Amino acid sequence: MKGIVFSEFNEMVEEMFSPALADKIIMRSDLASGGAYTTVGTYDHRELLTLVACLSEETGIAASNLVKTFGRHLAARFTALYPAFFQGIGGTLDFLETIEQHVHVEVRKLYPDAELPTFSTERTGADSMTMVYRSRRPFADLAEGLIEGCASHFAERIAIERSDSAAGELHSTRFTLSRID
Amino acid sequence: MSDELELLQRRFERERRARKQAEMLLEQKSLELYQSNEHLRLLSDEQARSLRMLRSTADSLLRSIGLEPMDDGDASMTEVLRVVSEILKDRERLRRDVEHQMFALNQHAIVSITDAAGNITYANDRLCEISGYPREELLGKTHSMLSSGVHPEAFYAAMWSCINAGEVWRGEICNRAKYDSLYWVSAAIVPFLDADGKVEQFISISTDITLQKSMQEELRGSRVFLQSMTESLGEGVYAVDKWGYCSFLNPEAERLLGWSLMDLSMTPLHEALQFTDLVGNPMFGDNDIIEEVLRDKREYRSEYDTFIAKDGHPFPIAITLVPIIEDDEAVGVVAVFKDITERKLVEDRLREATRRAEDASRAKSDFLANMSHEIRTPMNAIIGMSHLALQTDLNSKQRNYIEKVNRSAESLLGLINDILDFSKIEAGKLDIDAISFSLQNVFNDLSSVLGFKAEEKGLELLFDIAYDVPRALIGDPMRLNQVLLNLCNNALKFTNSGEVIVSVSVVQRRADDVVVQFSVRDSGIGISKEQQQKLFQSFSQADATTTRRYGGTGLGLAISKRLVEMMDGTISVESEPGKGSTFHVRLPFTEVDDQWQDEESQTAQADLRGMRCLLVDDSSSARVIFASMLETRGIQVDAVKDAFAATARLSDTATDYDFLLVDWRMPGVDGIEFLGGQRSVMGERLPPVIMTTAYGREELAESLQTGGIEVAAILAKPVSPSDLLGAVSVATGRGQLPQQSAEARTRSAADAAVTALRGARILLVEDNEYNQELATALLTEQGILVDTAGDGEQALRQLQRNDYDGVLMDCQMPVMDGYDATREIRAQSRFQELPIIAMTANVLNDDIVEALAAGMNDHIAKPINIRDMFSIMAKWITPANPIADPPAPRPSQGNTHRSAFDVLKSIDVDNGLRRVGGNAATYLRLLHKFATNQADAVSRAHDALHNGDSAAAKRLMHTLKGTAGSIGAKRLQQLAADAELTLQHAVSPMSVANCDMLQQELDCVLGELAALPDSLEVRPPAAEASTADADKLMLRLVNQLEDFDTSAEETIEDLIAATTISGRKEVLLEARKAIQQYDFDAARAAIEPLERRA
Repeated sequence: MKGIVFSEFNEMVEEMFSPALADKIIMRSDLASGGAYTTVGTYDHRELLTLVACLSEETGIAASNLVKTFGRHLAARFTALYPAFFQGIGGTLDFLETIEQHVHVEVRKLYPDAELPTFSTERTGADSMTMVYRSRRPFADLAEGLIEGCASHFAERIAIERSDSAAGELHSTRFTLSRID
Repeated sequence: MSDELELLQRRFERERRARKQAEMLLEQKSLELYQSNEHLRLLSDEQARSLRMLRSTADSLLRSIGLEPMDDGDASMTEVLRVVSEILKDRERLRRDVEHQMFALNQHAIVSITDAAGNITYANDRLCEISGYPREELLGKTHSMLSSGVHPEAFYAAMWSCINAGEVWRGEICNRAKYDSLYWVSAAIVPFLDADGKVEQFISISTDITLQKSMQEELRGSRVFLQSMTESLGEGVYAVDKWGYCSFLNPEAERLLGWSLMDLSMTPLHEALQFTDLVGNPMFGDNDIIEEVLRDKREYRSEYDTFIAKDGHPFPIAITLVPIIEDDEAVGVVAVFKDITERKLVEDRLREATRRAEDASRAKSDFLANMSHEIRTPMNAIIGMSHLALQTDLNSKQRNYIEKVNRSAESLLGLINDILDFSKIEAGKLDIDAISFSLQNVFNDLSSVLGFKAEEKGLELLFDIAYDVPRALIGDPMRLNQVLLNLCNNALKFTNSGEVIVSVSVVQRRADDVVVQFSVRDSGIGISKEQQQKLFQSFSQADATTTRRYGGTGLGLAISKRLVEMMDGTISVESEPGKGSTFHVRLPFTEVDDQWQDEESQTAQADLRGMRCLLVDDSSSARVIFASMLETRGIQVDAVKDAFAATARLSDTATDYDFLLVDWRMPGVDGIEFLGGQRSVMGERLPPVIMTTAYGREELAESLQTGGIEVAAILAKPVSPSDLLGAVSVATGRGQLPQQSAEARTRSAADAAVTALRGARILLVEDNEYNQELATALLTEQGILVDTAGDGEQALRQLQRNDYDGVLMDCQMPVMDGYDATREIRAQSRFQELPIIAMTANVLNDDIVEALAAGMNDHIAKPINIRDMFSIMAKWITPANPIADPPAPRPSQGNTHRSAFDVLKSIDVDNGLRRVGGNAATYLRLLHKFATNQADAVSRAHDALHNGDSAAAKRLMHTLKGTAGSIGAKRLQQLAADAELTLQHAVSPMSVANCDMLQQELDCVLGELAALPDSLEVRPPAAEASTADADKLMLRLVNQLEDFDTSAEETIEDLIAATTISGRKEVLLEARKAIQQYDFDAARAAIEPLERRA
């Protein structure tokens, strides 16, 4: 998992809670990386799960909720860091459609070793879509947060329904999205 | 504070580590970037070099075709490419032009060029192709290598002198190809001269004419062929021009006509031949057939025309005239003819033979019809008399014999009917009705006829009538019934176990027209593919061995097929040997309003919806059929296949069933056992039960009684929907009263008819003595007064003397037949309204029509169907002096004499009476017979044992057991059975104690029997019995004894009752004893003194 996710997570914890709590969960988590992340590096995704779990214990907020929140944070950061991906795109659903064909292609150019989830999308109407998230990592919540974050970037309200299933190592989640006027 | 410092310290540490890591990654990426740049630089150098080379190549090309090289300045890559591609395009265009011209020439001609010495310097593909030589073999050689040897030397010499002179030579040359085949060319050889006028080279341009040459050859050949063919055809061939003059005459035509072509030059051919048609009209001159053929451009064929030969003899011909058409214009006619004198003769003979065969066939049909009449008349007596006999008190042996006679006679009649039907169909005398009828009635009839047969064989017969099949149709119900009966009979005959299912469905519907499919499926022996093909032929069963095993004429299916076809339907079969067969009959009908609805389906109105039924039947077909019958009426059905599943369903208290539909015979636990068990578990909560059975209905009723189980209804399969729903109504108390079954309904209709006829006085006109007696017995039994007449004249005389309510008239009689008699009767004005009903064994429509035409009111078919007879009679005949009261019930039929048996303590009287169908008189006779025959059974057995004949002893015990059982002496029966068993195993001789017990019980029974009256009949006082009556009875008795007729037993009973003189009575009692032992001779001897006195 790319370092930007970890460093952004730490940023979020420091911003949302406190630098002390961020330090505390890093200390408690006893990570291989020692919690020193650089955005261009690659780290084990389990470190993030450990960090989230610790944060959940410290805050009493459910891990999934934390991850979702992090997703929203990350989405906001992406729009700021990579505005090119969002230019000329009308709304959330349009953007989601570009992830597989465009965003992930660009990411792979820069990081050939990046292990990315897949997002297959199918438009079911002008304002609705199903999107299936598949990954070896259990980050459907993160995906959901990212969708929400996108929606707030485009100032849209999107109703999200999801159903999860896991087969072996593969996690997949079907999101049914519809835009509410 | 220090915490904060520490925190900062840690964060700083992490930042530093992250920065180092990032720097490391950055350095790594820089290195990758440098390497990529290097790689790119190398690639770009390579590209520049290539471009330079390309440009110089292009320049040199441009120069070579006289164009300016490219400007150094703008010689970009694109420019280079543009120039190169243009050059290539130009070249391609030129190449193609030349190629096209070459191609065109080469397509057209074979081209070669030779030098002055004659050596070939150029040869095109066509030459190589046609000569078969590859080009390199031709070049440098002379044309002589192609010389075919067909042309003489002079031919070539002339050619050379022509072209050497500078002239163009034209001609056809035959050449020889490499592989020896010859080919023809049409050639032009053009000499090319040099400046000095000397021949420099020759160009030969030629075309292939081999095909034309060979066609010319062929044409000549076929002309020769045609010539020789017309000569050898054996038929005359000639051709005439459009004016009718002969232009060709083959040798056969010359031979047949006697004319030669030369003779005919002055006269049109047909005129010379006096060509005439069938009726002698000339086919020339004004009515010229040639003109007609030419005008219509159509062939003329005939086998009825005549030519006259030159010598003047006419002969019949078969002739075909064909117009000769050239460029769409008829220019002449060609004719082929032959002398058919011989054939005409043969045809005449054939026609004669056919006529004779048809006559014979008609005679056969008539014969069959007559025969069948002749046979049906005595059959009437056999069937009727045996029917009457079965109504009397018979012992079981007699009943058995008579039933067999009756059944055999019925089946013989069936056979005769088959043959009659067949001959009627063959003779085209069978008519198909179109009347409205109820399909349900057809199936009711089918069920009543076949149910018994299926039951006998232990087969399930099921009807599966789809819900949408119309109830009322227009068609021929009798023929439909006949076909279905035949198919079902076959199915039952060829099936040894399993089921026969008749299903009915609508396969096509347009407005009121429906096509209904009847399928009869069995699980029998099946029919192989080869056999299926022969199946519907006359007199054919699947194979000859089948006939031996199963009997039958093999006419049934042939008749069915004809009948179905006459009804515009189809019949087909699907079958696999060993798996059973299905016959499908599809018939068109017209649907009509259901006029039977009211009388037939009152229960159809009953609301049975929402009820719940538990259906227990091991036959899956039965489950499907019953379930669908019930479900169409909104009843919810749970169907299970055995008692275990049924028990499980019933123990599930969540479901309450409104009624149970339970089959009797099921593997494992049968219906009765199942119900017994449930009765004890559920008690009063057991829902009402309807039981079905494919086996003996009576037997089931008895078993139910023995088991102490009450059911709401018993249904014998096949069950019709209305019967089932009726039973459901009864069982559940829902809906209307149950409708009567069809049979019961007919029966009650017949009863009503009988009541209406009581007291009528009828004149029966019938020549056959037996039939006279039969009809008289049938009629008088029902309180109808009968006078008889043996022929028409007698009948007329009788009518003058007495007043009659109606006449039953046989048709065929000696002296004066029924038709004439009827006409005579009707001729008298006072008999205009007298009901006259024909009775005839002829069932052809013609006979019925004739009977009605003669003035008869209606028709009763013989053999007589008693119910039909009464209902037809009731329709026309009203008694002038009706008798309101029914005749006194036959004493034997009531239980009024039950008290007479009260003295019997050791005997189960009810059981005994049930065994004789409740007939007290029969029972009494049985009891007396027992007393007479079995009194010494035990002592005889004892004696036999004493003499070492244990087999005889066993036989005696066996008989005792049987007869004791049949009179209801149960304990005696048991003891006899024990004795028999002991003797059978021969373990020990009968113990004295056993013997004593048996003897005691026997004595006890005999003692009670001795107290019984001799007879139950309440006779009028003897004084009133006339001597004449007694004499008559005595005479009958004597005759019966001499004929070994078992009804002697009845006669002597009557005689005893009518006798008061004491000595006489004793003699009669003695005789009765002898009769009861079937010792008729002894009885005859015993009464002899009485007879003399009489």
